[in-house]
Amino acid sequence: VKAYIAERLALTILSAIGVSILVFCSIRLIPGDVVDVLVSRGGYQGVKSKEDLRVRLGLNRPLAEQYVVWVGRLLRGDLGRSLRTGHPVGNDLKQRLPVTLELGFLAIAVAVALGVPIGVISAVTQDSVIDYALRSLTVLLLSIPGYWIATLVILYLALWFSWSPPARYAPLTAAPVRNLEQVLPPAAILGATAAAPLMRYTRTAMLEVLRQDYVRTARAKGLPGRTVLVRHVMRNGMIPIITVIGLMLSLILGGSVIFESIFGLPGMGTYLMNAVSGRDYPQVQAVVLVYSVWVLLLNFMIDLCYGVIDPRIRH
Amino acid sequence: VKRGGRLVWPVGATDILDPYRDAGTGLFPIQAIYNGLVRMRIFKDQGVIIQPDLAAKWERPDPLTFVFHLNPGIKWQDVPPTNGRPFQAEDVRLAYERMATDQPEFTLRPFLTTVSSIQTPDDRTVVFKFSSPYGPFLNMAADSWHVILPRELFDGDRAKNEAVGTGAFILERWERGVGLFLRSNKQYFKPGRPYLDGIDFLSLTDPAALQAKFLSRELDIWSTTFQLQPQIQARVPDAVFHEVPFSPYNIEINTRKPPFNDVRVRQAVQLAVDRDLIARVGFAGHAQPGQPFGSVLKDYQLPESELPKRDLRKAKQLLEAAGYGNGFTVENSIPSHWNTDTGPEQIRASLAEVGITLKHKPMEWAAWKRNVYSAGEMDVTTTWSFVYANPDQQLWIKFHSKGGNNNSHFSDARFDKMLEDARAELDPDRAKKLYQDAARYLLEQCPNAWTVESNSLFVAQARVKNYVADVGANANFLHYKSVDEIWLDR
Repeated sequence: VKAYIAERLALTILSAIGVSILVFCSIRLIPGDVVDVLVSRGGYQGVKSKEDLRVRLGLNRPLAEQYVVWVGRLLRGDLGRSLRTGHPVGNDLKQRLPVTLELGFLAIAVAVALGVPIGVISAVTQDSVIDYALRSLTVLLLSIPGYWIATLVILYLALWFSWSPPARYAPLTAAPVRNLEQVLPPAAILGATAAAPLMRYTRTAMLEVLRQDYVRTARAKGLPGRTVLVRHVMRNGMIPIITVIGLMLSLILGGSVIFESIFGLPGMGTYLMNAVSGRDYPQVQAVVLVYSVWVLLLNFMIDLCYGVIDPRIRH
Repeated sequence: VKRGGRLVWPVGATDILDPYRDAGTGLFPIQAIYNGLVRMRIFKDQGVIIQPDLAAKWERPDPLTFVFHLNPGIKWQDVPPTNGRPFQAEDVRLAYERMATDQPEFTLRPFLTTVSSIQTPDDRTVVFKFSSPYGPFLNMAADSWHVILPRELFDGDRAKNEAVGTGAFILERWERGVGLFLRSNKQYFKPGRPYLDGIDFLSLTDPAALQAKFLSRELDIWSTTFQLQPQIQARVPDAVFHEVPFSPYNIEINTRKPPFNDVRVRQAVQLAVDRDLIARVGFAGHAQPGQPFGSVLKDYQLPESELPKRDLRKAKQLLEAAGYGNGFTVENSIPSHWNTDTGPEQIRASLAEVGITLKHKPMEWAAWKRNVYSAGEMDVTTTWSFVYANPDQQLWIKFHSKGGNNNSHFSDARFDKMLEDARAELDPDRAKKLYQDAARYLLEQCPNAWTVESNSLFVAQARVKNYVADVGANANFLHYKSVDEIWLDR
């Protein structure tokens, strides 16, 4: 088991290094840089002062040197300072990461609470009216973009009930009720749209396992239907579903950009959007790195889960 | 007048608060925190008005001297780092020196280079000495950028992240990504002001969210669109709308690059543009004919009879004379998030009628800013022109051969001389004539083709009293200066 964990961990670290190089280079390859953004008003600045600014920000140094400096700071826990605001990026992330994680976890909870049971029900009632109805619902949710539903929800709440989520964000720890008023609507919509693919994966996985010989044997032994479903079908069908849930969390983090903007949540998504358009390299690098490490850790944990669920993998 | 209440006003995402370093949307809330020497308002029916602010009186005793007499008893806000210390003439001198620095990022220097020295003979008098006369100095001192910051914020990036001024409101809390929350300054030097307890400047950007929050009466003032006006009227019948001119919408032309290095081709573009189509279809009728000076500088505008009229026959003749009788194809570089239905499409359609094929080339925002807006690497770009309440800034930046944003690469010694003469003219009537002559010359040379000037729409809840949107408010942010006059009837 230890060797398995060590191997997975080593792969995760190697991937993190690869990601850091990719993140660092990709943002610098796109045209335009932070200097143009900083001196954009009326284009007052001449070429000389732009060059001075590049020197001051260290952007004139070779790319490799900039990378080494960045990684050096990173290893000391310093994510750098924003090129535009001079504000420490680490402090920004401390405020913003919990918002996005809260939205992501709530959305996943909604997605799992809806997607897995619906998928199981759909599988066990295959080709019945219930199955068709649930599959139609899934197709509907898959077809409609989440941001469109979010826009409709926020507008119709205002039109019908003269209500919209509170405009000033409140952290969960400071004002839980107001926080949930703000975060629950986007989490529910994001979760409902994410539940659709989860439901389809669950249904397919369940159907595959339901046809296995050992399920027929369990039934032939006279085990109750619920026991067969939970102990034999669901446990064996969980591996692809867990993979999908893991992937979904990373997709939800990415998809949170629009939802944070619509619902006025000060999370990582809106931060990243502003950072990219402002070419604020330290901000972009930090956010993408956090996302990447998050995805890598998730994959690592999923790998470990496989081992727990299916002992054959450990061996 | 009733006292109390908090005004809720969305301002978009704010990154920095330093007006000397292009604060972007940060410029909106800081107008409530800082004061200028004088304050400008631009009302539709009255034009530019210069009001006292930190200075009670001003005079120009000779062409090279401008004297401001400061109001007595002004104090910096009673919060760190100024801690309520008295405001003095020396603060003005230091602030203007800071504005004029040649350090990177600072953007105000080019129009302060004629200031040779700033003297402070006593605590309440500031004397600006000029190396050569600069006519529009007062307009510039009254805008949203030339506000006075305390020396305590000049160290490093402090002014980017903090704002402590002499203004009606004190920055209580800046929650990044959420908004800036201000409370009233009890020691404000204008008696009885402000009326509000505080202001919430929210960092909201999503149009649907803004609409929902206005309809549910959470927002007090909002910059909306004409398309939404009927729905807002139906749902919030007592809402008060303010329609004001915004900014001229131009075709900025690269005058260095063939075929536009031939003035006849540029003139043909100007004659081919269908301004009526752009105003009617692109801006739903909420626009007027464009020209080098926008409505912000109404006094300097040319009469409509002097503006170019659409003349396809003449446009074709000019193209033929220039050797482009069979037309040509050019690219219109525009930011990808701009709606091509409001302007670019109507321009494309009207130019097609004289054989000019305009292909829209969408670009990512920062790339457009760098390559097109700053460097002028383009054929043309259709865009709103920045508006200044200073005729010198309005024409110099874009069209003087040394202009910082001359992305048309327009270089014309005669025009440069016209501007240099105009900025040195202190007699208002003669200065007006010189600027109008310069505008006429631009209409002949066509480094831009002026199409229309579109309008902006602001809406306020009925409870908001004494709010007036300034002409060009979406570009000059002057209406944010009025928060010390606004009160809420709750």
